[in-house]
Amino acid sequence: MTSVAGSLGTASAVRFTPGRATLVLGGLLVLLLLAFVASLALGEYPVQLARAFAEPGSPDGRVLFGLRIPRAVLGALVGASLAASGSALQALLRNPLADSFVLGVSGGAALGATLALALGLQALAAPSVFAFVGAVAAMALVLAAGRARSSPYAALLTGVVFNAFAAAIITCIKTLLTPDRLGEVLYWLAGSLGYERPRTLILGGVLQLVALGLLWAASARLNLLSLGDDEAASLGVPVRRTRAIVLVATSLSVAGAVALAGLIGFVGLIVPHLLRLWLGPDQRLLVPASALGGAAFLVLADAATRVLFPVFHSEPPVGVVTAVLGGPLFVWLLNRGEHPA
Amino acid sequence: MSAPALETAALAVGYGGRPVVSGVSVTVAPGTLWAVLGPNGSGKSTLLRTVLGLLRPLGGEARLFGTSISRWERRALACRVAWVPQSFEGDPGFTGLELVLMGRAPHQGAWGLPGAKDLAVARAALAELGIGHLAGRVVSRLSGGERRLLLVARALAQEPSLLLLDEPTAFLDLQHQAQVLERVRARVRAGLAAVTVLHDPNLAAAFADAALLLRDGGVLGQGPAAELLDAERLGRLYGLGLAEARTAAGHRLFAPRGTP
Amino acid sequence: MIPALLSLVLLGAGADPGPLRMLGPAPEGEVRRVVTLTPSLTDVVLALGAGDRLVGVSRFDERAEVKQLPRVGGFVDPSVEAVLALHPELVLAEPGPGNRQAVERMAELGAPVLLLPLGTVSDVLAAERAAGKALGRAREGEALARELEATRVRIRERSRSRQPVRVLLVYGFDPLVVAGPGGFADELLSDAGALNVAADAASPYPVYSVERALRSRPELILDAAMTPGGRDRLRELPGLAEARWASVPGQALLHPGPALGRGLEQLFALVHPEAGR
Repeated sequence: MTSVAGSLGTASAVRFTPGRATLVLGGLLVLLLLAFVASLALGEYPVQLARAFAEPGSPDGRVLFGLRIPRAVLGALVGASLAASGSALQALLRNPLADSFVLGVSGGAALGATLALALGLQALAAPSVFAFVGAVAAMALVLAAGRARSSPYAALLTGVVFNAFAAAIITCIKTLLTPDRLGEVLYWLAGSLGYERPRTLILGGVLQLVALGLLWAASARLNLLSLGDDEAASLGVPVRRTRAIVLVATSLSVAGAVALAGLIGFVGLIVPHLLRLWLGPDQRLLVPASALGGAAFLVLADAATRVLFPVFHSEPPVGVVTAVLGGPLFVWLLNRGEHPA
Repeated sequence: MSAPALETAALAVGYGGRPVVSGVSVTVAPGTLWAVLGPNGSGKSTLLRTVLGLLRPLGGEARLFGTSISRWERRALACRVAWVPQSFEGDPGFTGLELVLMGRAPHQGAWGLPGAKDLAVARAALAELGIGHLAGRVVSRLSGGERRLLLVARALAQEPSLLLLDEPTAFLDLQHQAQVLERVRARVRAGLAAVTVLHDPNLAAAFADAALLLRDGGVLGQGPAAELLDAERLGRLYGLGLAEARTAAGHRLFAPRGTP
Repeated sequence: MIPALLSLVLLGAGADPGPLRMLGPAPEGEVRRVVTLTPSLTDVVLALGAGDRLVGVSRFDERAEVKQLPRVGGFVDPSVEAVLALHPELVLAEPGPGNRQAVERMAELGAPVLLLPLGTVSDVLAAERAAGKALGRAREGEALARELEATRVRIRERSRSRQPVRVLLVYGFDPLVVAGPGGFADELLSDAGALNVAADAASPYPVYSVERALRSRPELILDAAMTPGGRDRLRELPGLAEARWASVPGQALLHPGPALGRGLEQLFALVHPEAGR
């Protein structure tokens, strides 16, 4: 990071400038668009994009508009949510290992959806609705436990403990399920992008935009909070209120993402770390950059699952692809002799 | 004359309802530098944190610029009072200049985009402490002393009326210890009120206008540094025998008597 | 909280996958391109003599007749695009919570889908008739169903005069998964004059308690496990060691389909070896 900062001379002593932010975010937006286009072109069904756009009613058009575009939009929403939340939580909890699932949201969502699948409640509402309810309940629990102490570690520890607790209950439920239901729960837990209705996507999109907006608005205060609660307070940050805003925004965002796509790991960890190496730790830049970068990453990973179909005769869950890509990448980053902090 | 920068009356401070030190009644006027001395654990840092509003007072009262500390809004307070913490908690990869610019946060909009004035003030603070070369360096890779200097620069960039320093000279070499305190002194001459926790009575004797001595949960003494600081009283403060000497220029020096 | 939770799960575990029904547009004219999403339904199509119309099968299909066909995913993870790319005129699917979204989506995008539940023997009979009708082979479908019905009547007749045998049908040893109540295996066991000792379980494919299995003192243990892992350990246990052990040949009792009749005959022979042919 010093090498990057140093090579740019003293101008890089302040890395967040409107000009640089525009350049970086513009570049990432282009990357996202490229990923989107690539994703639209890849899949088992041979879609001719020109014909699909000319005749939306043709088979090509229906596959494009009915399957690929909704799925790419879903991937972008989920990727943006996981990566931006991961970045904000790493700053807030002052812990580079914090990822989007650290606050118990994952456990709550998984528990909610597993219960719904186990009880056969899909008739009432999609599992994602139950996942969202579970995630929000877990978030409320963790925040309530965290309130008792003013330290951010209380929320972190409660989240970790709650996830372990939820995992135990889920294991217990799994032993009671029939193989077909078990298969579905396992597939859902592995994280995959399915085919959501436009209405669901719009709802999810609004939720994510609001959450990301809150995070970006709080990003300058997050920078100060990453120094420590007392220092932030001495610099004028209303610590408790800011922390509450960030925790609620990230939890809602991740709850929405998990509800839509299950547990997709590594996006919340790998994308912010990579971008931090490149851009520095300023959350005003990292939050939006992570959102765009995470969206592009997940859209590409999902396209990869479709490319892999002829190999496996099945689309591997996208969570498997992100983990397989993310794990080695992360180890490599850590071993470059640079701290990703 | 306006209200004093800091005024406490029978203030008791501590953690978890348990007082560490009580009965503190001091008045810090603009243009004065106070040194707070005392053995480890005597409540010096706790006192500063309480004055900053980070801890609730356990008794008595503290007023900043005439207003009770509980009535201050965080941001308004940050525009008047700056703090140099004892330790550096986070390990973020900010550059020196980015860190110092954070001192401008209370003066900026919610999104903290630095204007030309903010940049000028931050660079001037770096220059004032002779650390302009740290502007582009990443803080997490600097030495403990360099980080202290950046924290002092950040507090100066905050343009406070009251500056609270918690052992600003820790980790610093002799030259930088003197430099930091000289810079603070210069600001004090221009009207700043400052309270600094110090471990070295020699530095207190050389730079402070007044001193507050804390020991055993109470105030051992307070007053003008020139009158208050002598070998006998400091010996009682630290619980060991001290010898006193005077330089040719008239500065007092204290050293442990040791066993010959 | 946990006991309450568990009882809820137990109640829900046997939930109905829904009735036999058609999704999407109705097939037009004679159906020539068929995709199946589960091996049992491939068996049905082959038994109807319509194997030449298959253009795609699931990734679990192993029969030689369909070895060369493209794969479209599995029971819980069918690929909508892979199915559509084959331009099917009929998709045969077993409904399940895991594939609901994908199946609905392919129907919306123009593929006629026939959902055929296969949980019980009567489901299988209905599926054979419905698939036959959809493929213009109603007579063959009816014949398949009649044949299975006739086999059931015959075997029931033969076992009526015999002492019921206490049987545990094992699908897997580690963990112990057995045939529970409410599925076709339980029905066929009863047809063959067997008393399913796991009839008290919660679902058709429960993970069963080993101790409970010991206590139920089965006279016959039918081994339908695909892997032998854990079998030897169980075989030494009191209550199981004394039982007669027999392996179920082939997959007749694993796939609900046209092979069930043959499976039932094999089952009868295993339960009552003294009866002869």
